[in-house]
Amino acid sequence: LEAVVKKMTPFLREAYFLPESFTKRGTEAAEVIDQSNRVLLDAFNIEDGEVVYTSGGTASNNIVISGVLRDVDLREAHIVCTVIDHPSIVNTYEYYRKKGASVTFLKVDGNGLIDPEELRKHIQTKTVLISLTHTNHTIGAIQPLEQLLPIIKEQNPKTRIHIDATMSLNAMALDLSQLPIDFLTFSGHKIYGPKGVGAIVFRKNGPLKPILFGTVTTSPFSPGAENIPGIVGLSEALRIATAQREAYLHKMRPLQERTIKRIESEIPDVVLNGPRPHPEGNLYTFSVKRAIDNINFSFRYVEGESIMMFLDFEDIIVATGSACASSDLKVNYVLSAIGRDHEMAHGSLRITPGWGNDEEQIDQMIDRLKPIVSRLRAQAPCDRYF
Amino acid sequence: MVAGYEGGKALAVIKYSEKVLEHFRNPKNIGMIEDADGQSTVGSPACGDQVSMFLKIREDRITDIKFLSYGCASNIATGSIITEMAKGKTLTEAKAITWKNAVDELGGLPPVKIHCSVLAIDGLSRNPGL
Repeated sequence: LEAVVKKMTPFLREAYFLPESFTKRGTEAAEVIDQSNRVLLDAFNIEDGEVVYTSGGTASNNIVISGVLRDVDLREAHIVCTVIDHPSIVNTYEYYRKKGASVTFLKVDGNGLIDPEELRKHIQTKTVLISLTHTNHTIGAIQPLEQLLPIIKEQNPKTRIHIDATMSLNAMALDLSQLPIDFLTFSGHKIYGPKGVGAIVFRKNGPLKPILFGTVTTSPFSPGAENIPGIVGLSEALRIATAQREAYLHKMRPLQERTIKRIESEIPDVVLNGPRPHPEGNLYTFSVKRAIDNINFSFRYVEGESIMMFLDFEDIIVATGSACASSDLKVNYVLSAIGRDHEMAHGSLRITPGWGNDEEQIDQMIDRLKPIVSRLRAQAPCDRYF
Repeated sequence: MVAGYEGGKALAVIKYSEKVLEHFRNPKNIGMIEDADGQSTVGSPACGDQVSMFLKIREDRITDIKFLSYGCASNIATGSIITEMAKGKTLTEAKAITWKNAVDELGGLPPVKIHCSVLAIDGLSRNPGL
């Protein structure tokens, strides 16, 4: 977003000093960080909170998980996440499983949602941490936090709750005065902010231990020189996202509706991956199960990377969960977890409209997608033999 | 030349050469031959890509060759180049075409895309007509 770049740019030169000395320049840098902290705490409606700036969502999730577990006896610890959480959660949990912690990877239903009763069963007395991705990055499934979090607190009030809100913030507010979230993580580039910067917001004196060591200036959890332009960009992006949620919702809803309607009615053998959008979903309530800016389809008899490449020739950028597009030749783990077989995951396409798109572009995209899919299907041996 | 390298310099691991993109966009010899002398299908949608290859043979020579692909750009481009290379060749010559020959002809492939290209070569080498 241009406004974010404009706000950040002067800080490539200004407030360049470390915010640790009482000099004019040092104080200036400290004030810039203070103001950004205020924006973040206001956005999540938390009076007495702490902010840690990181290099992105991945670093934020790692610092929270490892920071909570640092001084815990892993043989006595139980931790919970879902099978479809972001890799920065799932892979970190898998690391702690190998180190001896007891780990539950909660299964999800065909839409990518957690069963509340299943969750209840798995929160034990020794569950120290649960991490949940609020909005799934692949299929846009939104976990109903207002329903799930009380269950966790009921079962074990000491279990720390970590929510990755990276994919949520353009469309949804997370109110920490209402939701018992201990650690909230997010990243700049999903809210039209800078890449390579993210944050952790948590309650003061939360049970976090530093896992990075060095010169501590503003936060013991992120020692070293602060990324002042990044911090300014992140807070400005969040401020704008918060102010424009209503407008975002109004802009995205018809784009999502149109994309789904046209693909389902004009291209045969397709399956929508993830929950069907609520017909009149109000994103300020939690009744919505699907992100407004996520569309994910599987196209039978076509390989996803081929579709993606042909759209790329037309300067239309989408993503795929095809095995061909991964380095380990496995299909997307989220699509596997919601029960899509290899073939359906292989032919998947994720379409994520944003501020820069309009209805005309959606129509252009689908007008181009149709002949691409027909052509690739005609080139494929599948329908002739299966 | 090694796959993924061009002119001694490493390509970005996720970059396709111009030639790969051209063969992917406009694959040669795509389709099927109804009365093929040799027909093979390798791979399966259940586990990944699938390639079918059809040969027409006259007096020990490949007079026509076509393929179908349920696969990615790497797979389609390799199918295209290998059918071009095999067309008009004697069976012995066609048998001698290796995966490396095809990848060199394509100007290299990103290392992660090698698996997808091997299948296209299997379609030829495992063809009963050969």
